[in-house]
Amino acid sequence: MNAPSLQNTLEDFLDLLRGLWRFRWPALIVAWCLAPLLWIGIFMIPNTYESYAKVFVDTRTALSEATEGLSIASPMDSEIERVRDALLGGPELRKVANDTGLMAGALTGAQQQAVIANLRKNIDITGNLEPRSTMALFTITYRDPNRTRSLQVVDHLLNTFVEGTLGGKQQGSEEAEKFLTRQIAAYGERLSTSEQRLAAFKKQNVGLLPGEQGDYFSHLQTSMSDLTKDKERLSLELRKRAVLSQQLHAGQQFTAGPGDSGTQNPAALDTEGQIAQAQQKLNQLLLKFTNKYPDVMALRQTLKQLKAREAAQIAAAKRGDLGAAAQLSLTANPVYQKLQEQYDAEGVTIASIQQEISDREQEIAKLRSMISTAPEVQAQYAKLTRDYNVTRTQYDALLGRLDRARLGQQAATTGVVKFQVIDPPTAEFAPVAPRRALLILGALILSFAVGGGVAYLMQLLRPVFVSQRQLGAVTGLPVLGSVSMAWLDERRSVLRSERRRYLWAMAGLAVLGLGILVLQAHIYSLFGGVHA
Amino acid sequence: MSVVEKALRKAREAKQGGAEPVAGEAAAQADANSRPSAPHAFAGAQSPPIVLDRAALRAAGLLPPVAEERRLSSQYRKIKRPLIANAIGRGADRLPNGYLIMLASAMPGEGKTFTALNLALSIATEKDFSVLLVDADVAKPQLSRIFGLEGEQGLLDVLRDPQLDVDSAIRPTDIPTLSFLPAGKSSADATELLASKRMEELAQRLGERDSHRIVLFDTPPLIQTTESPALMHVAGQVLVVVRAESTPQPVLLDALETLQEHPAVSLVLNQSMRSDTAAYYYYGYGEERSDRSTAPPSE
Repeated sequence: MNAPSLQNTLEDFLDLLRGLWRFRWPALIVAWCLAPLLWIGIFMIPNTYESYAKVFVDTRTALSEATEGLSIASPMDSEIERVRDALLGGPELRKVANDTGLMAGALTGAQQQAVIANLRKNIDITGNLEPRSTMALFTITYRDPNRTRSLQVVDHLLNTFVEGTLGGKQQGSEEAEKFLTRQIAAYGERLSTSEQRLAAFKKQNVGLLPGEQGDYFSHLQTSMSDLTKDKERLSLELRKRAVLSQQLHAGQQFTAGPGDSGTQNPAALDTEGQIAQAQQKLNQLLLKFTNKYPDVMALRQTLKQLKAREAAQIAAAKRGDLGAAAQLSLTANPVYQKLQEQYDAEGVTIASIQQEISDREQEIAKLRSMISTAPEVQAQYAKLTRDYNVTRTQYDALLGRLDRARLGQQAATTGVVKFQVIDPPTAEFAPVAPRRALLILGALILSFAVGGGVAYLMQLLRPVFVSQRQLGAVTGLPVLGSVSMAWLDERRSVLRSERRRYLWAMAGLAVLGLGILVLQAHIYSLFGGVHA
Repeated sequence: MSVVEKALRKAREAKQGGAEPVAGEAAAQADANSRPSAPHAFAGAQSPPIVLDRAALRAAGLLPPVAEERRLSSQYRKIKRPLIANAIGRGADRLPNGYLIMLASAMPGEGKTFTALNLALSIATEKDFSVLLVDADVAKPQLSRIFGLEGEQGLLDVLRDPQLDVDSAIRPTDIPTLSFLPAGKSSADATELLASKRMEELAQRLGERDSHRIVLFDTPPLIQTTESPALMHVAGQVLVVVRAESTPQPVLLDALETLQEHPAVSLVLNQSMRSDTAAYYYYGYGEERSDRSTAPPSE
C-alpha cells in the first residue's frame, strides 16, 4: 500500500524536475541577470572592521587584606557595572565621538543623537565575571567601517575604563579625607579652647581642685581623720615618755640605795672581780703564749683600764662622794643609758606630733572656711574636665581615621584594583563584516534558486504532460501507453550540444561567481574608492 | 526484432527472395512496377505496391533510429493490443466500428503521423489482421508525400467523385498486410469533403470490407481544423497522441472537449523522455514471451 504511493511521490518529483528542465534557459537567464546584480550589491556594502582590547582586572592583592575593613573595598561586579554604565553613558560617548571625528558630519542634535546611539550599538563590553571572584577579563569591542577610527575608539574607551575605575575610587577617598581633615580642624579648635579654659580654671582655683588626694570632701575627711590619729599617737607617746621617766628615776634610787646602806661598794667589787677574772685569764694565756701575742696584749690593756677605774672608784669612795661613785657606775650601766636615750627620742617624737596636729588643725580650719564655695568649683571642674575629655577622644578618633583613610588610598594607588592590558587595542586588517565570500556564494546559490523558482512558476503557468500516469490523471481518459523519444542521431547531437551549451553557461556563472569570490578583496578595492 | 524488419522480411518472403528494396523513390517505383503481380491482401491489383524505404523513412523521422527500434516496437506492441481488442474483440469488448481508428492530436507536430505509421506497421505484423493506413491529413499529407504519392489519386478524389471506386485508390505496399490510401489531390474544399456525409459512408465501407481489417486515419490537428470532428462520428476509436513535455495541458483539454461525446477516446504519450527502463524491461520481457508463445509461426 505504501510502496506505490512512495513510488508515485518519487515519480511526481521526477516529473517536476522534468517540468523544470523545460524552462532551463529562462531559469539560467534569470540567474545570470540576478547574480551580477547581487554581487554588485554585495560590493556596495562597506567594510566593517572590528577592533578590541582586553583588560585584566584584579582586585585581589597583598594589600586587600590590610584594607579589608576599610570603606574603599567595593564589590567587583558593581564596580565594573558602574564603569560600564559610565563608559556607555551619553556624555562619555559624546566625548569619544568628538575625539575620533565621528561627530564631524552631525550638526543637528538629532544627528548627534543618532551618532551616539550608533556608537553605543557598535560598542560591546563583555567580561567574564565570576560571582565571587575578584578577577575579571574584559573585552571592549567596537565595529566601524574605518579601521583606524575603530582603533581610536577602543583606545579611548580603554583609557576611560582604566581611569574610571581608579579615578572614581580616588575621588571617593579624597572626599573622605577632606571631610576628615575639616572635622579634625574643628575638633582641634574645640579641644584647645576647652584645654585653655580648664587651665585657667585650675589656676584660679588652685588648692580647691581635687588632686591626688581626691575632692574637697574626701580631703577634709582625711584631714580630720588624720588629726584624730595624730592626737591618738600623741597621747600614746606621752604615756610612753611618762613610763620612761618613771623608770629613769627608779634606776637612780636603786643605785643610790645600797651605797647608803652598806660599806661595800658593789661597783668596786664588781670591778675587782672583773680585774681578778682578767688577771686569771691573762695568766692562763701567758702559759701558752708570749707577751707579744695579741690576746695577751689586749687583755693587759683591758686590765689596765679596769685597774684605772677601780682606782677612781676607790678614790671617790674615800672622798665620801657615794653619789658620784654611783653615778660613775650608773653611767657605765648600759640599761640606764638605753633608757635615757629612749626618753630623749620620745621627747622629739612628741614635739613633731604636736607640730603636725597644729598643722592639721590649721588646714581643717581653712577647709571649713571654704565649705560654701568648694562643691561649686568641684562641679565646674568636673564639667570642664568631661568636656575636655570628650573632645579629646573624638579628636583622637578622627586622627586615627584620617590615618587609616590615607593608608587605604595608598593601597588603592598601589594596586587594590590592578589593571593589566592584555591586548592593547588591536584590529584585524581583514574586515569582519560583511562576510563577502559567504554572501557571494549565497548570491550565486540564491540566483540559481530564483532561476529554479522562475522555472517552477513557468511550469505551473504552462503545464505539460510528462508521464503517462499524469496524463491519465489530468484527462481522466485511458492512456494506452507511452512511446519513448526516438532520437535521430543529428537531433540527438543537436540536443547534446544544446545541453553542453547550457552546462557551459551554467558553469560560466558559477565560475564567474567563484572568481569574484577569490578576487573579492581586489574588486572591493576598486569599489572601495567610492566609500573611503 | 523490429516491426519494420519483421514487416520487410515478410515482404521479402512474399516476393520469394526478390531484390532488396532500393533507396529512393524512383527505384522503389521501378521495383514496384517490375513486380505488378505481387500478392496483396486487399489493395487494388492495378496499383503498383509501395516499397517502404527504411532509410528514407528514418531520415524523414517517421521511423525510429535503429538503436531505438527494439524499444519502440515493444512500446507500440503494448499500445496496439487494447486497440485490437476493442476492434475485433470478443463479446462486450468489441466496440461498434472499433476497427475504424482515428489518430488525432491537439496540435500539429505531436507525432501523429509517426504514431500512425509505426502503429500500422506493428499491427501489420499480426498474422490475423491487415491494416489500411488512410492519410486524412489533407492539409499536410506527410505520408503521401514520403511515399511519393502526393497529387496521386486518393481520398479526396474518391470523396469528390462518387463514381470513383475507393479500391482503385488504395495502394498496396511491399508488406502484404499493409495498404495505404493517399490524401489525394488537394483542393480548396478539402475540409468540407472530409466533413461530408460521403466521408462517413466511405469509412463505413472501408471497415465493412473485411472484418479483419483495421483502418487507421491520420487526421489533422484537432484545434486547428474542423475536419476531425466529422471523422470522429465514424471512427469507433479515437487515439489522441500527446507529445510529452510539449503539448500544453489546457490545449489538450480543449481539444478533448471536442471529443467529449465520443465513447472510446484513449491517449498515448509520445516522445516521452522519461527513462522508465525498469518498466520497459519488465513489460517488454513479458510481452516478448507472450508474443513468441502465441505467434511462433511468424518467426
